[in-house]
Amino acid sequence: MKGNTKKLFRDGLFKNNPVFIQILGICSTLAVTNRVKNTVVMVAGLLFVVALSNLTISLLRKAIPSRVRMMAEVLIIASFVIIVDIVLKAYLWDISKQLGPYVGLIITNCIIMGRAEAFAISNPPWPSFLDGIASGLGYAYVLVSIAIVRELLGNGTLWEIQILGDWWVKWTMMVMASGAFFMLALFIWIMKGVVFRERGEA
Amino acid sequence: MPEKKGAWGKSLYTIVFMTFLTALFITVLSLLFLKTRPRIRVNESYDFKSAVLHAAGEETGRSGPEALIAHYDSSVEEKKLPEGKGLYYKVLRRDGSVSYVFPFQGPGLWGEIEGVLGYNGDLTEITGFDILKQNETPGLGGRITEAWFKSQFKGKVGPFTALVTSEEGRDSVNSFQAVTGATSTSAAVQSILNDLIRSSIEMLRTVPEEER
Repeated sequence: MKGNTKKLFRDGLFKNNPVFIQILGICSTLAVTNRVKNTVVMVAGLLFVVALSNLTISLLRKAIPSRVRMMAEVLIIASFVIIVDIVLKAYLWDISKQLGPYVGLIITNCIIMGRAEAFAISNPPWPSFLDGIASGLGYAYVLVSIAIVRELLGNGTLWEIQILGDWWVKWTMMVMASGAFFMLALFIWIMKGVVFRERGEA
Repeated sequence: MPEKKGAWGKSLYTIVFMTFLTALFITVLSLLFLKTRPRIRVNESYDFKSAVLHAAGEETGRSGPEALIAHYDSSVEEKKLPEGKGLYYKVLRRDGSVSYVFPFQGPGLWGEIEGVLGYNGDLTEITGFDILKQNETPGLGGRITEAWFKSQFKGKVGPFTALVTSEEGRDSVNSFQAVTGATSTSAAVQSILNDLIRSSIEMLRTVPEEER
């Protein structure tokens, strides 16, 4: 069990990382990573949804008729996303306004459906829950890393606090979508071309 | 999946299962929604009331939602412009002066931009500007909700003839600093504000002060 847990986390975080290995969840990676604050809320929302939808789908896996399993999965995922949306509106109103439609779009994040189909539908609840956490964390650290660089270079701030002084010429491109493409490509290159190659896993 | 007898049994099971699952999740979501609805309503009304007071030049930062809503209820009066040209809000400020706040809305880059613009008692100077609703690109056009953007309108008169791209030009009376990388959104704000100034505010200027 301990070995399995380790493998789940190694896969989610590195070997089978949803963003830079499977290239899933790219829409939100490009869209929300120009602000660290928005990114953290987004990844927290996704972590909650992927972990709990994996758990629920796994608990119901023997009862879900196979021919409507994707309908059932989407229903479960959408319900958890609506919970995130309601909680943000009630308790984190400002961030809810800033994220706007992106919270609802967690439903369409391929990572969640991907983990439901690839893992939760055929595995017991606890490993499925951990798999959701591992994939969510794998998504989280990639997005937060990209957001730190984009916000710092693009606005001179981190978490909306001024870090670089007036001397810093803001790289406007960094807060635009094109900056996200460059950052994501760099991230993939560093991870696959440098980190994994050094470890002999490329 | 539990063992089932035939095609009819399978179909019936599928329908019953999906109906049950849907009903279960709808019930949970409805209960959560009902539980949080008062809080969401307070947030929504707080947003509007805070924006009106902010546009009127009142300090809103330190007061909690309840205190702010109480201040709004005791100091703001909703009024109608002549000829059915819309609403405005007369705000009696803590220092005894009066401000007039005008709601505005218009097309942004991706969707409607809604907000409020406040003027002093003799309609010669802007007291504040706030955004209530926008669907602009987060991190770009969405930055029109940030304090640095909203605060630059205070003390100006309008209409705005130009957008400037540097901080040096932001103090000019007839222009404001655009959001870098979001020229379309900034131009949309300029156009919406100019429309409001040329219609509602011009109209209120024609109304004698004691009747405003």
